[in-house]
Amino acid sequence: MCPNSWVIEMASHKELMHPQLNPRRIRPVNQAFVRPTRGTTTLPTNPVFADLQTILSVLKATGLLPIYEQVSSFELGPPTKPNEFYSFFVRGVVHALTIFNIYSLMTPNSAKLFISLRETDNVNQWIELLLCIFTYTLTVFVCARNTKSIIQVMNEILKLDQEVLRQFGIALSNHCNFSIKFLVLIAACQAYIIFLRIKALSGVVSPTTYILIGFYAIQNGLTATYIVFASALLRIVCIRFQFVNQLLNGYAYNQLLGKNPRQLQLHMDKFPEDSLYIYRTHNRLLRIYKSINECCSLIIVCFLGYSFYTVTTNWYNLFVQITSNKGIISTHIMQWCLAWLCLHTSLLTLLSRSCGATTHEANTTSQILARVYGKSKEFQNIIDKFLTKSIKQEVQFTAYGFFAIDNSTLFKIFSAVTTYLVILIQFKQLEDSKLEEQEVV
Amino acid sequence: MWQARRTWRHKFARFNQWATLYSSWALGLFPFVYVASSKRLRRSKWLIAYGIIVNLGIIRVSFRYYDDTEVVDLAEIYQRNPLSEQISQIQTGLNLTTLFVTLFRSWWLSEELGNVLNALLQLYETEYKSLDCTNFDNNVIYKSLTIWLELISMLFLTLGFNTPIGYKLFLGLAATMTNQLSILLLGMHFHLAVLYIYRSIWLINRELRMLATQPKIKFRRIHDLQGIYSRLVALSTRLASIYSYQMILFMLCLLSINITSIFYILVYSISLKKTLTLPLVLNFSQALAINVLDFWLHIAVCELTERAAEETSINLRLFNDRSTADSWLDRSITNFALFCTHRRPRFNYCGLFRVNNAMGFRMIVTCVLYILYLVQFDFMNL
Repeated sequence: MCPNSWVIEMASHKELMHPQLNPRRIRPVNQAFVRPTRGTTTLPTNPVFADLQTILSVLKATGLLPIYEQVSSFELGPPTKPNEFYSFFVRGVVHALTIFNIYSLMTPNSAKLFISLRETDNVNQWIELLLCIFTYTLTVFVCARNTKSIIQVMNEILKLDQEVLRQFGIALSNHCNFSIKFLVLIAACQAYIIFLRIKALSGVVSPTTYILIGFYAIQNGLTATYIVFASALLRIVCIRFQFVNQLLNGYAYNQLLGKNPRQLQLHMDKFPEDSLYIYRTHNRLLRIYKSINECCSLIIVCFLGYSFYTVTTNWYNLFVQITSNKGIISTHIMQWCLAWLCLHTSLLTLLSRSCGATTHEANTTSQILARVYGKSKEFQNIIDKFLTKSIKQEVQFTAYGFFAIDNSTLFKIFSAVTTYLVILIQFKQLEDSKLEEQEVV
Repeated sequence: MWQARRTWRHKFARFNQWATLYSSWALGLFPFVYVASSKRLRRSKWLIAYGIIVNLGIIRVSFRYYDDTEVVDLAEIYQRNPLSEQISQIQTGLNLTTLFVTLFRSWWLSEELGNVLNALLQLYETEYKSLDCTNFDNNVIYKSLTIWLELISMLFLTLGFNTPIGYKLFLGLAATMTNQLSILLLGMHFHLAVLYIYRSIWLINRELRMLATQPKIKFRRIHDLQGIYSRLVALSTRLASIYSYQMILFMLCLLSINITSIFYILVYSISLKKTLTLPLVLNFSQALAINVLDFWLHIAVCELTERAAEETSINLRLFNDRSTADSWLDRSITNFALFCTHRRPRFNYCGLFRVNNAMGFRMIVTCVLYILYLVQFDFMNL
């Protein structure tokens, strides 16, 4: 996505309010923003966030998102009473199942679940299971608390879209097709892991064990799905930021090269009015970005912790397999570890990339503004107004204020994984030498 | 309904503030008296002397009966694992240092603290009328509940391990708990002062948001707000410098207690091969949880203030999309924005570190690492 390849013709607001009088200016050369305009304004039944429908319906069905009503194609209403009750009911069932699972984990019945390598590894798997349960329960709780703010965020995005459509005749697309791919990936990985787990079970298996395995997979899958949803929201915001940046880029020096003074004058005359629109939109986008951050940060922190733990233990398992069996890895364990690693690494990458991209776009605005052709004093004042308020004001997507999430997070997580891996391996060596010592004695 | 709940919360928060004030006076930790005629706090030397005598007396009592409050199980752990005894001695030293430094610094620097408090008082009586800040009330309540929980958890820990409860144990325990209460109350003073600063910034933010929607703004008001903001920034710096040593030691204490207590449990369960009974686990985990909560509240309140200051910058952006011909207004807003970018309330202790969520997270991660190192260091002995 090269931003400089997009050209959007702009006009002053008075013209924009009546696009039919001046059809020449609706020329969305930029294909990336264009969604098939078939009935976007006329048919209220056209679902909002069409790219996200699958993932939204999964999350709605599991009570993580409210089953909102669609008032028009640019507004969502609160859920109806029966739907609200349904979400409430589903959440109740989930919590009941969680309690049941924790109980059955305590019983000796669950011992079969663990593919036993050695004592400490079972402890590891235990912690992993508990972490998963904790993450999912927290997700459900936070989602239940944030139903209103999520609908508000979606409404704000839709309102922004509506304004863009009215003023520029451009229907912004969402580019969230990746969400379906990830949904398939999550489902495939979880199904494969269930398959591996059941294959490894021996002896008579009670139905509670099946429930345990099934619910564990669902918990994992839904938490992952929520992360994909958060990334999709971020991607949507990112595209809006790009749009604003593109609008602004139309006034940059390099775009205006080669125009004669008269054309330049005409072009720049619209700048003061457009700048007001741009500033307002940027502010609103920042607010949306912040509210998404507030809604998701706790879940993301928890997920990152869980992911970190899973990735570390799986690498460790692989390592133990390689060293203890003199290079021969049991295919079962390898498949198992690789499935987990694949799932979590891809999710981590998705999350950090979408956060990084949005943050980058949000911070680019001031950079572009600095390049705007501001010959007269008035233009300079307008530009300064924005720039003075952007000094040392880097926008960030933080994990509950603990750390900023962007592409560097991926690097940090994997360096931490390496550190902990070394510590774990040292532990294993200590354990082995202690065992040897005891045998000698 | 919401109104009712809010007032209930507000009242409870106010009650907690009064309770803090009176208990601090009783323990001689707040050497100020309110002079109604000038509406200012005045430092009283008599109160300082009273505080020194009371606290030294209590410390002496707790030393006298220190051996009686020793936990039996701990002695067993020390016997098994000499390293843990050495660590525990360092721990005791640290605790004592914290106690003395905290108490004496609070008396020595009481004049400066009085100035800061008077500045805050002045600000509040001239500027603010409506004070319904939910975050403020919540944080006051959380902190005071934590103090109660800390004391109760200590009671449970000591009584849970020592089966014969006698007169000496009771006296020693009471003295130790009073010592702990002193430190916690002094922490609460800092907490409250930071919260007052937070509430002022929050009020500035609210006013800015309101002004942004108005068609006509007096630029003088923006000037005034900037003036208040700059005073708050200066106050936060002064406050951080008054409480820097105390807070560093206090946080160090909490973190080191957490590390060592986890280590003790490991020694207890692995080396001594004792089964962990449910009451023991509950007792241990409640102490750990309350310690972490106390530590985190301290971080959270600093983070809250920093966030509010960031919010001010964001709110100033709301004035971007006004096409005003008023150059004075533009200039005052620009000035305010520039001031916000250069100076923000930061709680920087002795220049060592800035307290916020990021720092807290790093501290917790470091603690996990230290537990691992400690276990590795003493693995052969486990």
